[in-house]
Amino acid sequence: MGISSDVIRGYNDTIILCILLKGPSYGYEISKEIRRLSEEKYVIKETTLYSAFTRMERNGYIQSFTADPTGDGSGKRRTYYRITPLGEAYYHEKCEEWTLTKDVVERFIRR
Amino acid sequence: METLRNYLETMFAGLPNTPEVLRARDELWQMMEDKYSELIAEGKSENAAIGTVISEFGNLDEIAGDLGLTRGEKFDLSVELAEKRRHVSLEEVKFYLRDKGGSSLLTAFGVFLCILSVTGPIFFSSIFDGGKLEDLMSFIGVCFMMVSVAAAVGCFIYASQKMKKWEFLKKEPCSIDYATANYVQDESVRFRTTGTMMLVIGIMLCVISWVPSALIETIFSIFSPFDISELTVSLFFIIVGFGVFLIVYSSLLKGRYETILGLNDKDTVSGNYTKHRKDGEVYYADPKLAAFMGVYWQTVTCIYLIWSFLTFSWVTSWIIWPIASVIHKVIKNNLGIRR
Repeated sequence: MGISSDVIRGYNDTIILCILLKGPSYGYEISKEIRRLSEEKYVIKETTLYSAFTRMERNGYIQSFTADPTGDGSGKRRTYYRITPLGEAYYHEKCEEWTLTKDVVERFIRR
Repeated sequence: METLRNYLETMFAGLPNTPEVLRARDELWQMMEDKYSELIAEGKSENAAIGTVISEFGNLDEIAGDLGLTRGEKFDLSVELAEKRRHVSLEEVKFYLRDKGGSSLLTAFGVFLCILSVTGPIFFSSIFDGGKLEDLMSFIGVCFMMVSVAAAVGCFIYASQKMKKWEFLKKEPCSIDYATANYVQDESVRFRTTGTMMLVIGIMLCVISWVPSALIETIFSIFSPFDISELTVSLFFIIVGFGVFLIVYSSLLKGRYETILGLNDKDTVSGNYTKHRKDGEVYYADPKLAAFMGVYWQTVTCIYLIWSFLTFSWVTSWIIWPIASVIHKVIKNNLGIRR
Protein backbone atom coordinates (compact mmCIF):
# COMPACT_ATOMS: atom_id res chain seq x y z
CA MET A 1 0.00 0.00 0.00
CA GLY A 2 1.33 3.43 -0.95
CA ILE A 3 1.39 6.48 1.19
CA SER A 4 -1.57 8.87 0.99
CA SER A 5 -0.42 12.20 -0.35
CA ASP A 6 -3.35 13.91 1.38
CA VAL A 7 -2.16 12.78 4.78
CA ILE A 8 1.49 13.53 4.28
CA ARG A 9 0.90 16.94 2.69
CA GLY A 10 0.81 18.70 6.04
CA TYR A 11 4.25 17.32 6.85
CA ASN A 12 6.16 17.96 3.63
CA ASP A 13 7.54 21.16 5.14
CA THR A 14 8.67 19.30 8.24
CA ILE A 15 10.40 16.63 6.17
CA ILE A 16 12.23 19.18 4.02
CA LEU A 17 13.25 21.31 7.03
CA CYS A 18 14.59 18.20 8.75
CA ILE A 19 16.90 17.54 5.80
CA LEU A 20 17.99 21.18 5.65
CA LEU A 21 18.93 21.04 9.34
CA LYS A 22 21.93 18.98 8.26
CA GLY A 23 23.09 21.75 5.92
CA PRO A 24 22.12 23.60 2.75
CA SER A 25 20.92 21.46 -0.11
CA TYR A 26 19.24 21.65 -3.54
CA GLY A 27 16.09 20.24 -5.12
CA TYR A 28 17.16 16.85 -6.38
CA GLU A 29 19.45 16.12 -3.43
CA ILE A 30 16.58 16.78 -1.03
CA SER A 31 14.17 14.54 -2.95
CA LYS A 32 16.81 11.80 -3.07
CA GLU A 33 17.35 12.11 0.65
CA ILE A 34 13.60 11.86 1.33
CA ARG A 35 13.45 8.70 -0.75
CA ARG A 36 16.45 7.21 1.02
CA LEU A 37 15.33 8.04 4.57
CA SER A 38 11.80 6.80 3.89
CA GLU A 39 13.27 3.61 2.42
CA GLU A 40 11.61 4.29 -0.94
CA LYS A 41 8.21 4.52 0.71
CA TYR A 42 7.78 8.17 -0.07
CA VAL A 43 8.79 9.67 -3.42
CA ILE A 44 8.10 13.40 -3.41
CA LYS A 45 6.94 14.93 -6.71
CA GLU A 46 9.00 17.75 -8.22
CA THR A 47 6.03 20.12 -8.25
CA THR A 48 5.24 19.34 -4.59
CA LEU A 49 8.82 20.06 -3.66
CA TYR A 50 8.92 23.32 -5.58
CA SER A 51 5.61 24.41 -4.12
CA ALA A 52 6.96 23.77 -0.62
CA PHE A 53 10.15 25.73 -1.38
CA THR A 54 8.32 28.84 -2.55
CA ARG A 55 5.83 28.72 0.31
CA MET A 56 8.50 28.30 2.96
CA GLU A 57 10.71 30.96 1.44
CA ARG A 58 7.77 33.37 1.51
CA ASN A 59 7.21 32.57 5.17
CA GLY A 60 10.88 33.10 5.96
CA TYR A 61 11.60 29.49 6.97
CA ILE A 62 14.24 28.97 4.30
CA GLN A 63 16.49 31.11 2.13
CA SER A 64 17.58 30.36 -1.40
CA PHE A 65 20.96 31.10 -2.95
CA THR A 66 22.74 30.07 -6.11
CA ALA A 67 25.91 28.08 -5.84
CA ASP A 68 28.16 25.78 -7.75
CA PRO A 69 28.54 22.39 -6.04
CA THR A 70 32.13 21.86 -7.11
CA GLY A 71 33.11 25.35 -6.01
CA ASP A 72 35.51 25.91 -8.89
CA GLY A 73 33.03 27.06 -11.48
CA SER A 74 33.16 23.85 -13.50
CA GLY A 75 29.91 22.35 -12.21
CA LYS A 76 26.30 23.22 -12.85
CA ARG A 77 24.95 26.18 -10.91
CA ARG A 78 21.99 25.24 -8.76
CA THR A 79 19.56 26.92 -6.41
CA TYR A 80 20.38 25.88 -2.87
CA TYR A 81 18.21 26.30 0.20
CA ARG A 82 19.28 26.88 3.76
CA ILE A 83 17.16 26.87 6.88
CA THR A 84 16.65 30.09 8.86
CA PRO A 85 16.31 30.40 12.67
CA LEU A 86 12.61 31.03 12.08
CA GLY A 87 12.50 27.78 10.09
CA GLU A 88 14.18 25.87 12.91
CA ALA A 89 11.63 27.22 15.39
CA TYR A 90 8.83 26.23 13.04
CA TYR A 91 10.33 22.76 12.64
CA HIS A 92 10.39 22.15 16.37
CA GLU A 93 6.83 23.43 16.63
CA LYS A 94 5.75 20.99 13.93
CA CYS A 95 7.58 18.14 15.67
CA GLU A 96 5.64 18.79 18.84
CA GLU A 97 2.43 19.08 16.86
CA TRP A 98 3.12 15.70 15.28
CA THR A 99 3.88 14.03 18.62
CA LEU A 100 0.53 15.24 19.82
CA THR A 101 -1.30 14.28 16.62
CA LYS A 102 0.28 10.85 16.58
CA ASP A 103 -0.64 10.33 20.21
CA VAL A 104 -4.27 11.25 19.52
CA VAL A 105 -4.63 9.22 16.32
CA GLU A 106 -2.88 6.21 17.85
CA ARG A 107 -5.63 5.96 20.44
CA PHE A 108 -8.12 5.20 17.71
CA ILE A 109 -6.11 2.69 15.74
CA ARG A 110 -7.19 -0.92 16.30
CA ARG A 111 -4.73 -3.46 15.05
CA MET B 1 17.07 14.86 -22.39
CA GLU B 2 15.58 16.88 -25.24
CA THR B 3 12.30 14.98 -24.79
CA LEU B 4 12.13 16.04 -21.16
CA ARG B 5 12.88 19.64 -21.99
CA ASN B 6 10.12 19.61 -24.60
CA TYR B 7 7.73 18.07 -22.08
CA LEU B 8 8.44 20.82 -19.56
CA GLU B 9 8.41 23.64 -22.10
CA THR B 10 5.12 22.46 -23.61
CA MET B 11 3.53 22.56 -20.18
CA PHE B 12 4.78 26.07 -19.54
CA ALA B 13 4.25 27.36 -23.07
CA GLY B 14 0.98 29.17 -22.45
CA LEU B 15 1.80 30.62 -19.05
CA PRO B 16 2.43 34.35 -18.69
CA ASN B 17 5.98 35.56 -18.90
CA THR B 18 6.57 36.53 -15.27
CA PRO B 19 9.70 36.11 -13.14
CA GLU B 20 7.83 33.64 -10.87
CA VAL B 21 6.88 31.41 -13.79
CA LEU B 22 10.36 31.49 -15.31
CA ARG B 23 11.96 30.73 -11.97
CA ALA B 24 9.64 27.78 -11.42
CA ARG B 25 10.41 26.44 -14.87
CA ASP B 26 14.16 26.76 -14.37
CA GLU B 27 14.11 25.15 -10.96
CA LEU B 28 11.86 22.28 -12.00
CA TRP B 29 14.20 21.76 -14.91
CA GLN B 30 17.20 21.57 -12.56
CA MET B 31 15.49 18.82 -10.61
CA MET B 32 14.41 16.90 -13.69
CA GLU B 33 17.86 17.16 -15.22
CA ASP B 34 19.56 15.99 -12.01
CA LYS B 35 17.21 13.06 -11.67
CA TYR B 36 17.58 12.08 -15.29
CA SER B 37 21.40 12.22 -15.18
CA GLU B 38 21.45 10.06 -12.09
CA LEU B 39 19.09 7.48 -13.55
CA ILE B 40 21.24 7.27 -16.66
CA ALA B 41 24.35 6.96 -14.50
CA GLU B 42 22.65 4.08 -12.66
CA GLY B 43 22.44 2.29 -15.98
CA LYS B 44 18.77 2.89 -16.84
CA SER B 45 17.87 3.17 -20.49
CA GLU B 46 17.03 6.58 -21.86
CA ASN B 47 13.35 5.74 -22.26
CA ALA B 48 13.06 4.27 -18.77
CA ALA B 49 14.73 7.35 -17.29
CA ILE B 50 12.41 9.71 -19.17
CA GLY B 51 9.41 7.66 -18.04
CA THR B 52 10.45 7.78 -14.40
CA VAL B 53 11.15 11.50 -14.43
CA ILE B 54 7.82 12.32 -16.07
CA SER B 55 5.82 10.02 -13.80
CA GLU B 56 7.39 11.56 -10.71
CA PHE B 57 7.09 15.11 -11.93
CA GLY B 58 3.71 15.82 -10.41
CA ASN B 59 1.09 18.30 -11.50
CA LEU B 60 1.54 21.91 -12.49
CA ASP B 61 -1.76 22.82 -10.82
CA GLU B 62 -0.03 22.26 -7.55
CA ILE B 63 2.23 25.25 -8.06
CA ALA B 64 -0.32 27.48 -9.82
CA GLY B 65 -0.72 29.48 -6.60
CA ASP B 66 3.04 29.98 -6.28
CA LEU B 67 3.15 31.27 -9.82
CA GLY B 68 0.63 33.96 -9.01
CA LEU B 69 -2.04 32.29 -11.15
CA THR B 70 -5.46 31.15 -10.22
CA ARG B 71 -6.56 27.78 -11.53
CA GLY B 72 -9.05 29.39 -13.87
CA GLU B 73 -6.52 31.70 -15.40
CA LYS B 74 -4.10 28.92 -16.05
CA PHE B 75 -6.65 26.75 -17.77
CA ASP B 76 -7.92 29.64 -19.86
CA LEU B 77 -4.42 30.35 -21.05
CA SER B 78 -3.73 26.83 -22.18
CA VAL B 79 -7.07 26.67 -23.98
CA GLU B 80 -6.28 29.94 -25.68
CA LEU B 81 -2.91 28.71 -26.75
CA ALA B 82 -4.35 25.52 -28.15
CA GLU B 83 -7.30 27.02 -29.96
CA LYS B 84 -6.43 30.50 -31.06
CA ARG B 85 -2.88 30.11 -32.25
CA ARG B 86 -2.10 27.97 -35.24
CA HIS B 87 0.64 25.53 -34.42
CA VAL B 88 3.45 25.45 -36.96
CA SER B 89 5.28 22.13 -36.95
CA LEU B 90 9.00 21.58 -37.38
CA GLU B 91 8.36 20.06 -40.82
CA GLU B 92 6.45 23.15 -41.92
CA VAL B 93 9.18 25.40 -40.58
CA LYS B 94 11.79 23.48 -42.57
CA PHE B 95 9.71 23.89 -45.72
CA TYR B 96 9.22 27.58 -44.98
CA LEU B 97 12.96 28.15 -44.54
CA ARG B 98 13.64 26.37 -47.81
CA ASP B 99 10.96 28.29 -49.73
CA LYS B 100 12.03 31.59 -48.24
CA GLY B 101 15.64 30.79 -49.13
CA GLY B 102 14.66 30.28 -52.78
CA SER B 103 12.51 33.38 -52.95
CA SER B 104 15.23 35.45 -51.28
CA LEU B 105 17.71 34.41 -53.94
CA LEU B 106 15.21 35.35 -56.67
CA THR B 107 14.45 38.72 -55.10
CA ALA B 108 18.11 39.56 -54.64
CA PHE B 109 18.86 38.46 -58.18
CA GLY B 110 15.99 40.68 -59.41
CA VAL B 111 17.56 43.65 -57.68
CA PHE B 112 20.88 42.80 -59.30
CA LEU B 113 19.21 42.69 -62.74
CA CYS B 114 17.62 46.10 -62.16
CA ILE B 115 21.01 47.63 -61.45
CA LEU B 116 22.61 45.70 -64.30
CA SER B 117 19.96 46.94 -66.76
CA VAL B 118 21.31 50.49 -66.80
CA THR B 119 24.62 49.23 -68.15
CA GLY B 120 22.88 48.14 -71.40
CA PRO B 121 22.52 51.55 -73.07
CA ILE B 122 25.84 52.76 -71.66
CA PHE B 123 27.86 49.74 -72.71
CA PHE B 124 26.39 49.06 -76.16
CA SER B 125 26.35 52.68 -77.27
CA SER B 126 30.05 52.88 -76.53
CA ILE B 127 30.82 50.15 -79.06
CA PHE B 128 31.17 51.49 -82.63
CA ASP B 129 30.91 54.98 -81.26
CA GLY B 130 30.12 57.29 -84.15
CA GLY B 131 30.10 54.43 -86.66
CA LYS B 132 27.26 53.23 -88.89
CA LEU B 133 26.18 50.66 -86.39
CA GLU B 134 25.74 53.15 -83.56
CA ASP B 135 21.94 53.30 -83.87
CA LEU B 136 21.67 49.55 -83.96
CA MET B 137 23.90 49.29 -80.92
CA SER B 138 21.87 51.83 -78.95
CA PHE B 139 18.80 49.84 -79.87
CA ILE B 140 20.40 46.62 -78.62
CA GLY B 141 21.42 48.47 -75.47
CA VAL B 142 17.85 49.58 -74.78
CA CYS B 143 16.61 46.05 -75.54
CA PHE B 144 19.11 44.67 -73.05
CA MET B 145 17.79 47.09 -70.45
CA MET B 146 14.17 46.17 -71.13
CA VAL B 147 14.87 42.46 -71.03
CA SER B 148 16.78 42.82 -67.75
CA VAL B 149 14.00 44.80 -66.15
CA ALA B 150 11.39 42.34 -67.42
CA ALA B 151 13.42 39.43 -66.05
CA ALA B 152 13.77 41.28 -62.74
CA VAL B 153 10.01 41.82 -62.51
CA GLY B 154 9.56 38.15 -63.35
CA CYS B 155 11.86 37.25 -60.47
CA PHE B 156 9.93 39.45 -58.05
CA ILE B 157 6.56 38.06 -59.07
CA TYR B 158 7.73 34.45 -58.96
CA ALA B 159 9.37 35.04 -55.57
CA SER B 160 6.21 36.48 -54.05
CA GLN B 161 4.08 33.77 -55.64
CA LYS B 162 6.31 31.17 -54.05
CA MET B 163 5.72 32.73 -50.64
CA LYS B 164 1.97 33.09 -51.02
CA LYS B 165 1.16 29.92 -49.10
CA TRP B 166 3.15 31.22 -46.11
CA GLU B 167 1.23 34.46 -45.78
CA PHE B 168 -0.66 33.04 -42.83
CA LEU B 169 2.50 33.35 -40.75
CA LYS B 170 2.07 37.10 -40.84
CA LYS B 171 -1.71 37.26 -40.76
CA GLU B 172 -2.68 34.69 -38.17
CA PRO B 173 -1.35 34.30 -34.66
CA CYS B 174 0.87 31.22 -34.78
CA SER B 175 3.00 29.30 -32.36
CA ILE B 176 6.00 26.99 -32.48
CA ASP B 177 7.10 24.51 -29.88
CA TYR B 178 10.35 24.45 -27.99
CA ALA B 179 12.09 21.91 -30.23
CA THR B 180 11.28 23.94 -33.35
CA ALA B 181 12.48 27.15 -31.73
CA ASN B 182 15.73 25.42 -30.85
CA TYR B 183 16.18 24.09 -34.38
CA VAL B 184 15.63 27.53 -35.91
CA GLN B 185 17.91 29.15 -33.37
CA ASP B 186 20.69 26.67 -34.19
CA GLU B 187 20.21 27.25 -37.91
CA SER B 188 20.33 30.99 -37.43
CA VAL B 189 23.51 30.74 -35.37
CA ARG B 190 25.04 28.55 -38.07
CA PHE B 191 24.11 31.14 -40.67
CA ARG B 192 25.45 34.09 -38.68
CA THR B 193 29.05 33.87 -39.93
CA THR B 194 28.08 33.38 -43.57
CA GLY B 195 25.46 36.09 -43.33
CA THR B 196 27.83 38.61 -41.78
CA MET B 197 30.49 37.80 -44.39
CA MET B 198 27.99 38.36 -47.19
CA LEU B 199 26.87 41.65 -45.68
CA VAL B 200 30.40 42.89 -45.11
CA ILE B 201 31.56 41.92 -48.62
CA GLY B 202 28.41 43.49 -50.06
CA ILE B 203 28.97 46.79 -48.27
CA MET B 204 32.66 46.75 -49.16
CA LEU B 205 31.90 46.18 -52.82
CA CYS B 206 29.54 49.18 -52.77
CA VAL B 207 32.08 51.34 -51.03
CA ILE B 208 35.02 50.49 -53.29
CA SER B 209 32.90 50.01 -56.42
CA TRP B 210 34.42 53.03 -58.14
CA VAL B 211 38.03 52.00 -57.46
CA PRO B 212 38.55 49.39 -60.23
CA SER B 213 36.85 51.62 -62.82
CA ALA B 214 38.90 54.65 -61.88
CA LEU B 215 42.08 52.60 -61.82
CA ILE B 216 41.50 50.99 -65.22
CA GLU B 217 40.54 54.31 -66.75
CA THR B 218 43.62 56.08 -65.40
CA ILE B 219 46.00 53.36 -66.51
CA PHE B 220 44.32 53.04 -69.91
CA SER B 221 44.47 56.77 -70.57
CA ILE B 222 48.25 56.63 -70.31
CA PHE B 223 48.57 54.24 -73.25
CA SER B 224 45.60 55.00 -75.43
CA PRO B 225 43.78 58.05 -76.72
CA PHE B 226 40.42 56.22 -76.65
CA ASP B 227 37.86 57.10 -74.05
CA ILE B 228 36.66 53.99 -72.28
CA SER B 229 34.64 55.70 -69.55
CA GLU B 230 31.42 53.94 -70.72
CA LEU B 231 33.02 50.56 -70.23
CA THR B 232 34.34 51.41 -66.79
CA VAL B 233 31.01 52.90 -65.75
CA SER B 234 29.42 49.58 -66.71
CA LEU B 235 31.97 47.77 -64.57
CA PHE B 236 31.13 50.13 -61.72
CA PHE B 237 27.42 49.26 -61.96
CA ILE B 238 28.13 45.54 -62.11
CA ILE B 239 30.20 45.74 -58.93
CA VAL B 240 27.56 47.84 -57.18
CA GLY B 241 24.91 45.41 -58.39
CA PHE B 242 26.77 42.45 -56.97
CA GLY B 243 27.35 44.28 -53.68
CA VAL B 244 23.66 45.15 -53.36
CA PHE B 245 22.76 41.56 -54.28
CA LEU B 246 24.83 40.28 -51.34
CA ILE B 247 23.35 42.82 -48.92
CA VAL B 248 19.76 42.07 -49.94
CA TYR B 249 20.26 38.29 -50.03
CA SER B 250 21.92 38.12 -46.61
CA SER B 251 19.31 40.31 -44.91
CA LEU B 252 16.44 38.34 -46.42
CA LEU B 253 18.02 35.06 -45.32
CA LYS B 254 18.54 36.41 -41.83
CA GLY B 255 14.98 37.73 -41.74
CA ARG B 256 13.44 34.30 -42.27
CA TYR B 257 14.81 33.04 -38.93
CA GLU B 258 13.50 36.13 -37.19
CA THR B 259 10.05 35.62 -38.69
CA ILE B 260 9.83 32.14 -37.21
CA LEU B 261 11.36 33.00 -33.84
CA GLY B 262 8.99 35.93 -33.50
CA LEU B 263 5.85 33.83 -33.93
CA ASN B 264 5.14 33.02 -30.31
CA ASP B 265 3.18 35.33 -28.06
CA LYS B 266 5.69 37.59 -26.29
CA ASP B 267 3.58 37.60 -23.13
CA THR B 268 3.87 33.86 -22.57
CA VAL B 269 6.79 31.66 -21.65
CA SER B 270 6.89 30.35 -25.21
CA GLY B 271 7.71 33.90 -26.31
CA ASN B 272 11.19 33.67 -24.87
CA TYR B 273 12.32 30.21 -25.84
CA THR B 274 15.46 31.63 -27.28
CA LYS B 275 16.06 34.44 -24.84
CA HIS B 276 18.18 32.43 -22.44
CA ARG B 277 20.87 32.29 -25.09
CA LYS B 278 20.88 36.02 -25.54
CA ASP B 279 21.49 37.17 -21.99
CA GLY B 280 22.88 40.65 -21.78
CA GLU B 281 21.36 41.66 -25.08
CA VAL B 282 19.60 44.99 -25.06
CA TYR B 283 15.98 45.50 -25.96
CA TYR B 284 13.69 48.50 -26.12
CA ALA B 285 10.39 48.92 -24.32
CA ASP B 286 8.94 51.39 -26.82
CA PRO B 287 7.83 49.39 -29.90
CA LYS B 288 8.49 52.31 -32.25
CA LEU B 289 12.01 52.72 -30.98
CA ALA B 290 12.52 48.96 -31.14
CA ALA B 291 11.45 48.97 -34.79
CA PHE B 292 13.79 51.85 -35.52
CA MET B 293 16.74 50.21 -33.78
CA GLY B 294 16.05 47.02 -35.69
CA VAL B 295 16.85 48.74 -38.97
CA TYR B 296 19.37 51.22 -37.56
CA TRP B 297 22.51 50.01 -39.33
CA GLN B 298 20.69 49.32 -42.58
CA THR B 299 19.38 52.89 -42.52
CA VAL B 300 22.85 54.26 -41.85
CA THR B 301 24.25 52.18 -44.73
CA CYS B 302 21.52 53.51 -47.03
CA ILE B 303 22.17 57.12 -46.06
CA TYR B 304 25.90 56.57 -46.52
CA LEU B 305 25.50 55.06 -49.98
CA ILE B 306 22.91 57.58 -51.19
CA TRP B 307 24.90 60.53 -49.90
CA SER B 308 28.15 59.20 -51.33
CA PHE B 309 26.73 58.36 -54.74
CA LEU B 310 24.83 61.61 -55.12
CA THR B 311 27.72 63.86 -54.16
CA PHE B 312 30.68 61.54 -54.80
CA SER B 313 32.23 62.94 -51.66
CA TRP B 314 33.66 59.65 -50.42
CA VAL B 315 36.44 61.58 -48.77
CA THR B 316 34.05 63.08 -46.23
CA SER B 317 31.07 60.73 -46.18
CA TRP B 318 32.83 58.06 -44.06
CA ILE B 319 32.34 60.41 -41.11
CA ILE B 320 28.78 59.03 -40.90
CA TRP B 321 30.13 55.76 -39.41
CA PRO B 322 31.79 57.13 -36.25
CA ILE B 323 28.85 59.53 -35.73
CA ALA B 324 26.30 56.72 -36.20
CA SER B 325 28.25 54.52 -33.82
CA VAL B 326 28.24 57.19 -31.10
CA ILE B 327 24.49 57.81 -31.54
CA HIS B 328 23.85 54.04 -31.39
CA LYS B 329 25.80 53.75 -28.14
CA VAL B 330 23.96 56.72 -26.58
CA ILE B 331 20.52 55.32 -27.47
CA LYS B 332 21.50 51.85 -26.30
CA ASN B 333 22.80 53.01 -22.94
CA ASN B 334 20.04 55.47 -22.17
CA LEU B 335 16.89 53.86 -23.56
CA GLY B 336 17.84 50.19 -23.83
CA ILE B 337 16.94 47.64 -21.19
CA ARG B 338 19.41 44.88 -20.52
CA ARG B 339 17.94 41.40 -20.14
